[in-house]
Amino acid sequence: MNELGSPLETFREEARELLEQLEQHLMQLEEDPADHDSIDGAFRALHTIKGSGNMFDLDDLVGFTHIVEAVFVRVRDGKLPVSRELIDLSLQARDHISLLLTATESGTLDTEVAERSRLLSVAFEEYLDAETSAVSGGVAGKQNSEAPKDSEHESEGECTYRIEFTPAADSFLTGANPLLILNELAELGTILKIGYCEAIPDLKEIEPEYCYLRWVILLTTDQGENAVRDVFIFVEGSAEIKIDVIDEADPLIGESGYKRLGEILVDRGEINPKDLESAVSSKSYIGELLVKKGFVSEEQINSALQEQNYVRDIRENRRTVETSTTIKVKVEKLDELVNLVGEFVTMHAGIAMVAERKNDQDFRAAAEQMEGLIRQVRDLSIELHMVPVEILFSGYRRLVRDLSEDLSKQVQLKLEGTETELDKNVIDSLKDPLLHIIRNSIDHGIESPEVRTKKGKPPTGTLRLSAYYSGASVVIQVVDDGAGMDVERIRQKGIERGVIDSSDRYSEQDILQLIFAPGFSTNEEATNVSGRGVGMDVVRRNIEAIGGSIRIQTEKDVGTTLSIRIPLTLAIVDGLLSRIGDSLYLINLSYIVECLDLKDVRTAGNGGDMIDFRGEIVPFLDLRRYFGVEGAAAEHPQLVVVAIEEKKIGLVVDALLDKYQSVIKSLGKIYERVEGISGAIILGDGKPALMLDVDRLVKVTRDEVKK
Amino acid sequence: MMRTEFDTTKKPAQLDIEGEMSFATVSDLHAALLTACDEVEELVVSLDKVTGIDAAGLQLLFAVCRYAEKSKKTVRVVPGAAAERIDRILEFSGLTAPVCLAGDIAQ
Repeated sequence: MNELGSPLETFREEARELLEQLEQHLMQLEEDPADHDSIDGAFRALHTIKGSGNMFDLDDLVGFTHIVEAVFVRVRDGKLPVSRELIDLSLQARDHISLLLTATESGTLDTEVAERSRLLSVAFEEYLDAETSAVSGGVAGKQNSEAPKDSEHESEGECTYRIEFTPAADSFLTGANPLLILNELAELGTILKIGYCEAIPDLKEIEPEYCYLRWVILLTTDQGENAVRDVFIFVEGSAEIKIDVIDEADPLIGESGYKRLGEILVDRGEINPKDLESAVSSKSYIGELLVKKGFVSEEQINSALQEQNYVRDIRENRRTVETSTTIKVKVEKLDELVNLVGEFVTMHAGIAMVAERKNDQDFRAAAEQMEGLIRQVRDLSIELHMVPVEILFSGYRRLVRDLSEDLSKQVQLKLEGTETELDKNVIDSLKDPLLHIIRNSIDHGIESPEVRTKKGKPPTGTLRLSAYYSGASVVIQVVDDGAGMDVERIRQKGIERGVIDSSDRYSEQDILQLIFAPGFSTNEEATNVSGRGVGMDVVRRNIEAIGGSIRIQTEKDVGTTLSIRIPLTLAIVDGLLSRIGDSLYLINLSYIVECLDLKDVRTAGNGGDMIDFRGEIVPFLDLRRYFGVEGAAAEHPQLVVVAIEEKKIGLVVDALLDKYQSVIKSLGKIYERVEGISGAIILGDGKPALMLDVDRLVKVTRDEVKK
Repeated sequence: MMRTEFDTTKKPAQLDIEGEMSFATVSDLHAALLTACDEVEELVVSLDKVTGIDAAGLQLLFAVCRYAEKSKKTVRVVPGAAAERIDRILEFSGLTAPVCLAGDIAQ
């Protein structure tokens, strides 16, 4: 069974990924129209979609993509500037190619889509003059074109050059040592030097101070043609130098073969095609035959054979490297792996418990060794699941662009910390909440250019998406430099709706948190984008569902920052197992500051509801009382000091048991509304334990103190 | 820098080259080789004491071998202790060793 489906399905998947890349390149080009990497990237994406689509006879898709690609050939060649209009049109084309891809699933193209193809094609054709159409009329750009121009190979990307180098006869006399040039070329990449000595006369005739040697050099480098030419800078006036690209890393050239011997010789101008044809017709070994007929020397044949082998090897290596460094794995498979590792962790905990109970030294040693191995497997499986937040962030570039256009606003999006990695599942869960927050920021936060100018702000607003690590969490921030939230208005609305009373015991943060209440909106008019009061409660619920929390900071006319704190991974947590009554609870280790015997801690505050923790007055929560656990209190209760963003509280439990590593399972219906519990685990001996929602407990405890 | 010693008492006659075979010495070396080739019918050119060789020196070796191929005389170039050095420069230049450059002086 093919895990990745049929070849056509694989093509669709890859084409969709390429369309994502195309969109990113287009967005980048809009910011920096001269960005050559993005121009090349956009071209390559189109080129690959077209080329691969061709293999499946997807004529509609190939035909349309070809026209768009032809325009990008002009852009790449510097014949067409990147304009806002071209980006607009190209983004539409990108969406349309996506539609055409979807249409390949049913195999039919409805008339509306066909008409759209036609209209967009007409628009693109306007960017093409007759000459360009002719140039790109072939199938696949560069690979069919003649000797490439200098500018085509200036950018990165591996190319193999054939350099024919004949030093001037007096090069020894002038101090231009050809071996130094060979040495310099070798520093640029992989090299094959084929020296020719056929011009060296015999001892009687030689002028020993003259140079008779020449070389054909095959150089594979990503340094670009200019770097190659620079090597010859001091001899270019005297030596004969010919540089040709004979091979380049083109995604469509999958085969590892190369030109035939005769073709290489014709390419080099060492034989004319007519002679080649006459030799080929006698159906013998071509090399021997050409030498026998006196068309070329043995040295020339050997050199051509070396070129053939060299390029074949380079291609084969490239293919091997490409196939061996990455493989595609379905996310579901990775999920399954992480789950199994989780089960493995649980099972090990059981084994360790039995080993402990039996008090068998060997058994315990084996269990300990196993723990080390499991930790490595666990870390690796989690690592496999991590992806950079760039994947998430870059998807919003188009949204910001289109939305600001719809709302007649000017917004620039800045991305920071895009290399920060998060669990793929966390990323997926964040997609919608972030989308909603960004929409709100543009719709309600960032002002129109006119209003901004009146306020003395630049007409273009800035929306910043950033990510950074903070302990075992990642913080994602959405920052805008817009109007900020009107805290007083939110407070009034809260009072009107009876969510809060009119007393002044609510902090600004308390009031701001009201925007996450269901149906809460201060907007008089709902827009197409936001303002209906639907969404922010869902945003908070989604974020809390992945163990995250959300905070707001805002300042009038300066802007708003929404900070989302989420765990690095959802899969497995390291926790401290504690007991209250007969029940067991797990506290995430990443939140724990210190564990203390309660009797060693001095209480503070009027009602004795605070503790003096190393000079800091910190509220505490007796979990036995909080969860309503019956029975006598422990003789020596323990205090676990936890902190979220520097906000500390103490949690009082009956006893602390051990560190425990576990997979968190979601709670059933019975527990889902219990505040302070975020999940459950099954211990090695089959007993359940509840995962404490530390974030919530910190909030509840500190709120209580305020009251 | 470079010295040659031509010993006709040996059979075959032997031209020992000592020092560098480089652009700076190829003119003198060329003259010595021509003299030796003219004087005897059978010649061994020993590179045993060669301490360095560049492209101009290498070229001259090819010219000797070419002469050996063309003329009716027997000329052999024996690298001796310089074999590794000569191999290195041949490899670096992408050239194949000429036919007459082979074997040991004892052969």
